Amino acid sequence: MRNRFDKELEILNLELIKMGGLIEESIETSAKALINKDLEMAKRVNELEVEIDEMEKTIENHCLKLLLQQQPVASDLRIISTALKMITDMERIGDNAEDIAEISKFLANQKFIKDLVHIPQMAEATISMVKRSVDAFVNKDKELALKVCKDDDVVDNLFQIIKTELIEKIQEDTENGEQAIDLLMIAKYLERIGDHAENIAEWVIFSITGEHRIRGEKI
Amino acid sequence: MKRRLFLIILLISFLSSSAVSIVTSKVYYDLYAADAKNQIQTILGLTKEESNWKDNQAINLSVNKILSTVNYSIRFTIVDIDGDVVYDNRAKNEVLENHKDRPEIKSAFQNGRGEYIRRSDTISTDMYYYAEKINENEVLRLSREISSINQVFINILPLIVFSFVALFVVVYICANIFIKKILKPINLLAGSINEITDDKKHKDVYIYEELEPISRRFREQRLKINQYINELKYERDTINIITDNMREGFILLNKDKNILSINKSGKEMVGNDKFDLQNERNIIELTRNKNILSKIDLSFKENKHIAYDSENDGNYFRYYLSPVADKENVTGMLILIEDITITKNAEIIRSEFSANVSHELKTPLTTIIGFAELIKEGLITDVDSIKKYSSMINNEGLRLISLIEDIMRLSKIEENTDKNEDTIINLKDVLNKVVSLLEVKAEDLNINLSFEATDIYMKANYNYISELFYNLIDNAIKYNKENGSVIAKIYEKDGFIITSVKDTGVGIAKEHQHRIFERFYRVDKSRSKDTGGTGLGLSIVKHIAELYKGQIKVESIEGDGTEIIVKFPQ
Repeated sequence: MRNRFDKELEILNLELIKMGGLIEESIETSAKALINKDLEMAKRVNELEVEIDEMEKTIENHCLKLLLQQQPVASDLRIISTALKMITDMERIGDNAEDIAEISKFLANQKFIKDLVHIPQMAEATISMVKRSVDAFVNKDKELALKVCKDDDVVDNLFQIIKTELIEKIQEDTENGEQAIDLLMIAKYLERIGDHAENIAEWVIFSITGEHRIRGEKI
Repeated sequence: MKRRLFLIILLISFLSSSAVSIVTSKVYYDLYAADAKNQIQTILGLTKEESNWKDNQAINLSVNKILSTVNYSIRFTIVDIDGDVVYDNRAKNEVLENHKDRPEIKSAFQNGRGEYIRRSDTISTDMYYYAEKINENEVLRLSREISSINQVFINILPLIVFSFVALFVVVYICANIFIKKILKPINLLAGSINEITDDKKHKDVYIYEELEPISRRFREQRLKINQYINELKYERDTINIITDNMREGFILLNKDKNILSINKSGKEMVGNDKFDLQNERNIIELTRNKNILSKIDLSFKENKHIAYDSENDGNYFRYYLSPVADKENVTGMLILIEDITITKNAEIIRSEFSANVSHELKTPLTTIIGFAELIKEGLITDVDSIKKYSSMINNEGLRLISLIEDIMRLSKIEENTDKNEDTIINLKDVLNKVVSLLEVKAEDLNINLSFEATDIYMKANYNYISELFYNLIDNAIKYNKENGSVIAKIYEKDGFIITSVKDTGVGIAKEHQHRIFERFYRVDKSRSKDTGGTGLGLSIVKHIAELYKGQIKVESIEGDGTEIIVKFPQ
């Protein structure tokens, strides 16, 4: 009985990693779609979003089934509840990536009001955060998860820089306003993705230590 | 085992005590019945005189007399020869049925005596009848109740049950002690198996003699197992040494795509060098690279070998996926990863090189053919123009020749066919000569050319060294600024001969510095035409330096000048 339950947990673990892989690909693809003005990539993000949603449902059902049938306690319960929380954050990352891809489709046939410098940097930083939060989950690496939580500040700073730049652009010429707002939205989505990645890292810490980290607190 | 033994003991004692109680009740009953019969017979025998039974008064007297002497009731019946009951002390006023056919009566009339036991199914008592002839016409019958065998059994049943319970308790205690005693040495054997199977400690442990063959078997088995373990360890260590020292990455998967084995290179090449394989872990935990995973899936599904190139941070890796198949089913997979970065980069350089060389050769030829065609078609007639164009054709021809000469020289240096032409040369003389050759060119461009050198001797090919200086100084002059300067130096330091050519020219940007020694590589592709040159100069310098085990260092700041230092071991 226990043996079968362990097997189920293992499958759940692999499903989560798979979903992690999907969100990584999704945000990478949407960043490429934006920077290279690539419509094909943007379409690919839509497909990925569907896959991510399905994956979320599958994992959710799996978790509920395990909760009902096995009535787990202690660390088993923690693993399953962590999984349930993590997929919500992962799914939100997928949604935000899709939102970025949607705006990219619109921007693809426009000239950028200024060369993109900080947005690619910010994208890179968030992708790295997402990647490492999934890595931390795969390897049950508390240290790495803590680093991810720290890196959220980098993304937040970049968001402030981008915001200031875009305000300047609008002051220069009001014509720039429409695109500036689109770019600001993208930056905001990236910033949200960073937050979700931080959440995932926090859940990883919770599943290892059993204590939920309060934002900004050191463990 | 313990339980079974216990049950068997209990069963045996139960069966034996049951048998004993059955036999006992039977014997007891037989004795009791015989005694009862005997009493009746004796009473009858003693009182059978006819006078005792001749009239009612005598009968009553006899009956009362007899009954007063015994403590149980007796029925007296007198039957005449017709079977009619003449007297019965129990049914005095009733008319009883004819008794003629009763077996005891019948037998009494015939033989003088007769007896019969009427067994009762319902009543727990049997009736015993005994009859004797008292005269020719009358038979006296006595009957009494005796307990049936069942009744006897029921009577002694409580005793039996009590003895069973007692037996059970005794058996339980005894069996436990007994079983413990039997099992003790076996438990000891199991508990001290390590000592027993160890030849050295074996002597210290007491076991049954009868168990000695088992312990000997254990020892033999243990020896065998140890031997197997050692063999397996040796094999595993061998394999580990092989895989760990392999430059290639090595991963072994089972049919669930769980990693059974992975070496260090494998982890590094996949880009997850922190990966820790304790139990089996799925491949997805190692890498989430969708391309690789899908190729692995494909290879599993179609049971075929796949080679796949993957790029990771500017490094190129080739994955060889080999499914391990048992007949039709894929039972695992062997993955070898090869670092093909060098090959891949060499491929890129080679393709760039051939594109460059054909371009460099084609450009002068296009010019030559173009002008020659103009002249051939008679489109240019005046002497001045012909002179001008033919001199351009001449120049381009010369350029082509110098290019081909450079290529040939380069391949010659590469093959180093002139090695035996090495002589001891004075580097100062070589530099002096080169500087004097280039002085005119430097003056034309308003550049101050100077050199500092002492007499330093080196075993080398004169032409090569002169070529090296020429190319370096020529470049320094060509890529200089107006009123710039070039200083060439030769000196010894820390056992090295150091030659340095420093200019105040345009400099080389950081990203070009490591590429300038590639053949045909130009920092500024559009400028190459004005300054001339083949794009092979520094490549030749590099090859000559390498020929004499020299090291080249470039120190340059864009827009500020360049210093190229060549260090030869002495």
